[in-house]
Amino acid sequence: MLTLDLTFEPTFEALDKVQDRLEEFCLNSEIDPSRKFGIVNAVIEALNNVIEHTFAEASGEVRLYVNSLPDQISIRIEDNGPPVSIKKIELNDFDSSKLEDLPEGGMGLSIMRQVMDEVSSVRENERNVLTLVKRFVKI
Amino acid sequence: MQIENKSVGTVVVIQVYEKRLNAKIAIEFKAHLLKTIANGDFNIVLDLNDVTFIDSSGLGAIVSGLKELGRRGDILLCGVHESVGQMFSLTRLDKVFKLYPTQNEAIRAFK
Repeated sequence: MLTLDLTFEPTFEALDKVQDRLEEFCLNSEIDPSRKFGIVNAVIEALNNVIEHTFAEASGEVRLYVNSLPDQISIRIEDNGPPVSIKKIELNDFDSSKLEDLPEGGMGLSIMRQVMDEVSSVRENERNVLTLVKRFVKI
Repeated sequence: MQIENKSVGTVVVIQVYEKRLNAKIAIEFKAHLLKTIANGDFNIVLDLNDVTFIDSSGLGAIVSGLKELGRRGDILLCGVHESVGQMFSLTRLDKVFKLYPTQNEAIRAFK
């Protein structure tokens, strides 16, 4: 089992360094390289949402905890910001032939749901907790 | 953000010299794209050869450029890495943008 545990300020500058650590972690774990991109993307979309929405008008900290096992990777993202509901765009909704329909934002949650097997969020002890799970063996 | 425009006939090539086209630089990148269009450059090749990661903010910025262009022109992409291409597929934007292996092929597609 491999774990990664990072606490950082909710800024895009800090997120760049977090992504470096996450990519290194994925390289060192047994995650199939073809799945690595999607998992990193899902986590970054989740953290983008935290920075852009939860901490749009507040300060605080974010904790990223990743646990990699041979059959699954689970990611827990906690923050001490205010509760927030995130706008969602279902990516199947837009008509790709209509320019005005194309999405310019709000795609994060949909991307997470497509890449991961589980996406859930709760408010727990004054913290927002988002959990992402990707299983590598079908059960 | 490191980015450069190069004119090739009636085509402008925007070369992005960044490893990540993400939320950190998306606003600046979008502004650059819109300024290019405002300058009258409507046939745009976006060279992403140096970009190995794109998030939804980066994708959104490219979509903004396409919407701004409307029917006046197009944005063709080249040098798209597998990891970046996966994001276009995931978001179904691969149905919207044409991807070319090389800059020359994308430029030729405008002719």
